[in-house]
Amino acid sequence: MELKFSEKPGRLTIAFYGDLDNEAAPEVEKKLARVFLQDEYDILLDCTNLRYISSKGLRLLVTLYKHIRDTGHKAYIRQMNKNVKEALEIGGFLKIYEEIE
Amino acid sequence: MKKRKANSLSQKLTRRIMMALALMLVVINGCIFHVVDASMTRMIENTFHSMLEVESQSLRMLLKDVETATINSNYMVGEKIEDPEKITEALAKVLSINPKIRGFFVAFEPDFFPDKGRWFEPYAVWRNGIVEKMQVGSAQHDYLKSEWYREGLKAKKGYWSEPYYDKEGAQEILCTYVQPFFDKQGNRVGVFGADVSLEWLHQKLRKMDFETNQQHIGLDIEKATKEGSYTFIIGHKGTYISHPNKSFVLKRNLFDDAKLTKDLKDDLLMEEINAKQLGYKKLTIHDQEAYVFYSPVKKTGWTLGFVVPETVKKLPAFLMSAMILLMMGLGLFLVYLICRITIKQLKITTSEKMQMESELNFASGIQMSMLPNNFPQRDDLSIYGSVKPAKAVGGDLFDFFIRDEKLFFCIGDVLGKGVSAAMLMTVTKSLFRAYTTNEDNPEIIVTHINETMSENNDAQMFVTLFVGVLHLPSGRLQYCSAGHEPPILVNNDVSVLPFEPAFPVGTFDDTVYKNKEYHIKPNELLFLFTDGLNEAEDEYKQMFDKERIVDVIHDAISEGDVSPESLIRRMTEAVEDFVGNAVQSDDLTMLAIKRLMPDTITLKVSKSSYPKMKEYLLATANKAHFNNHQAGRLRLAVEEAVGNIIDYSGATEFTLSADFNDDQLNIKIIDDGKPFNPLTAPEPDLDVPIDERAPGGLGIMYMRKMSDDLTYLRDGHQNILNIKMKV
Repeated sequence: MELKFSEKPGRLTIAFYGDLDNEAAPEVEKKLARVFLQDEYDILLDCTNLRYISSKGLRLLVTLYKHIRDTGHKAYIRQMNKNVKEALEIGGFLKIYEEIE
Repeated sequence: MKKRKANSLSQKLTRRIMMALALMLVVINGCIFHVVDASMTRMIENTFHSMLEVESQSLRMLLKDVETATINSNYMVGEKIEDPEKITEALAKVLSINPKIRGFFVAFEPDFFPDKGRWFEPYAVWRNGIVEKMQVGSAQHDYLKSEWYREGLKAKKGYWSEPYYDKEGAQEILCTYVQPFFDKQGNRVGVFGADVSLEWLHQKLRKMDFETNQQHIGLDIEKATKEGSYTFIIGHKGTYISHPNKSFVLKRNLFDDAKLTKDLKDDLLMEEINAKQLGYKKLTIHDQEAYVFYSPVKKTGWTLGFVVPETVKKLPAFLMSAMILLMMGLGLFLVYLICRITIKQLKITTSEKMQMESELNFASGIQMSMLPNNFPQRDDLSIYGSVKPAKAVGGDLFDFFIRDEKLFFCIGDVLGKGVSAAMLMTVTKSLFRAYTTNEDNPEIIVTHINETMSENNDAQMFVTLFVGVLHLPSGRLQYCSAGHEPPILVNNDVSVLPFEPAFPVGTFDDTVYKNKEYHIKPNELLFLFTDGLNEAEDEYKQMFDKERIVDVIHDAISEGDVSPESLIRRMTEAVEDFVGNAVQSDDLTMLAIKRLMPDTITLKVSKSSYPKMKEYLLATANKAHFNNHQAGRLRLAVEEAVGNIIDYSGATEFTLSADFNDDQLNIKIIDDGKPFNPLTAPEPDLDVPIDERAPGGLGIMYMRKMSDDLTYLRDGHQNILNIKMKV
């Protein structure tokens, strides 16, 4: 799956393209490695083009959230589709990322 | 049997043509005959009337000569009235200067010269070239009682007697013109007369007849009385004065003859002649139809008549008809010959054509048998193709076969038509088979075919060719197009398969052909065709065009009926409707390939199975008509279960199978791993802070929450998980 990173002073936006499923999770984890190495940004997850997420994908988002929280920054999310939002909600993680426009 | 039939057909045809021509001939001839006959009737009327007029005039002139001679002679003889002897001398004198006159005489009133007795009639007559004188009045020859005497005496100017046979004098038929003879005081004392031989009149008329017959009908005088026209003269009472048959003269009477017959027309003729009228009648004379023209000769009381047989009138019409008949007969014979020859040739060409057609049909049969007509029934593939050649044999081809889970297929169009195109098509197809035996790379296959075809391509015939190799389990399609119409890709929408422009095979031997690749998803359909489809023309030379192809496909999509066979059938109908009565201009070939997702798949327990599982789930959701959200839920439920199997079960393989009901979808997940019932596994406590949550439970929760019903069964060494989802 493809990820796009874009930086603004103080904020890193990660845009997901495609399905964050069991197959894609290990690969996405690698791509996110550099994010775990920094502590200067608030993180915004752009889900405009994220079609689907499975439990393995969701776990990545939770891990990422923990890192953001530990670095004292804010975690934002936007443009979740129905399936993604449902998955987060059922897992009890809907509130960890602040949903913005 | 067949030959006899052809024979009778040709005979029938000839007979019909001949009959039609003969009928035309009869009608035309009838018309011509009628027209000629009618115009001949008018012509004859005019001609013979004027001829009669002329003859009547010339006869009158002849008689006038006699009359004039008589008047002059009468005067000269009248000078000598005192002396009977001198009268005789005078008669001889005037006769000698009138060689045309047979004789002159004076017949006196009874006892005019007392010494000459009661009858005195001096007479001068030609005999043997000498004028003789005599006295002919006597008791035996009592001229006083004769009609000519009485009429002559009282005549104003003169009187023409009825002809008579002169037994005493000339011994021939004579006619006499008589005038009153006066004395010096102007008293009528007798008659002066001139005898005229009718022989010269007769000769004169026969000569006229001869000329007329020669001029108008070309008959000699002997035949004239029977077959030709002739002139006759009758006296006051109908006695023949002149007739070509001399025995009629003085002996026969036209009026008497007329009275004898029952025919009323001749009686009418008689009346008209008596009334001194000019005219003509159609009568039956000597058993044949004839026209009798008649004209009075002035002052004589005679009638000049002219008989014209109807055959004379009919003759030109007959002659013309005969000539036309002859010519038309010749024409008919010629037409007959032409018919015979043409039919013979036609028979030869027909049999040649039939032989050629049967050979072409045979060739077409061979060609058709070379094209696939068995379409495999598979759960991962549906394929269908059709060819409709424009001529008996065609230049289009398609072919396919499956080897090692790969579908090899091609479609091509020889640029050209007819037998040569068909032969090249056969070659192309053989080469496709040959070069695919050890090769599954389309660009190499096409390159090989191109090299071989370019080598000896003296005929400069090219083939557009599309070769594809589809890996059925993955849907990976490799393809290479050599100038062929790009295929159309049909899923929920219609698009054109991306293509690289390249020359048709056979053009240049060094053309580089490149592969393209596309992933064909389950339920996606590839529609291949030759230009016989988009370039099919209707009666107004309008083309069917890509737009119409796309429209037809859209119709199929909206009706949810997109199987290869039904699509091709639908397309065929649409083209046939469009083309209407126009002649099919080019071969029409279509091939449709649809990748199907089987309802059941078995996969290895490996992370590498995820893509196939995903494809299966999307295809299954599509089959169940799920929307995106439902499809995502299905996927999540199954993926979590499969994830568990891959990560923890220790199984070697697992099977997914779908079962569709009206309002629900059942997905069975079967694995041969260690027993695991997700229904009994504990759900994660969502109230616990995320850092303290146990891993794993999330997947099971998704399985439960996403499905409408979840059941588990351990059957032998198998875990059977059943996920129900409402549609």
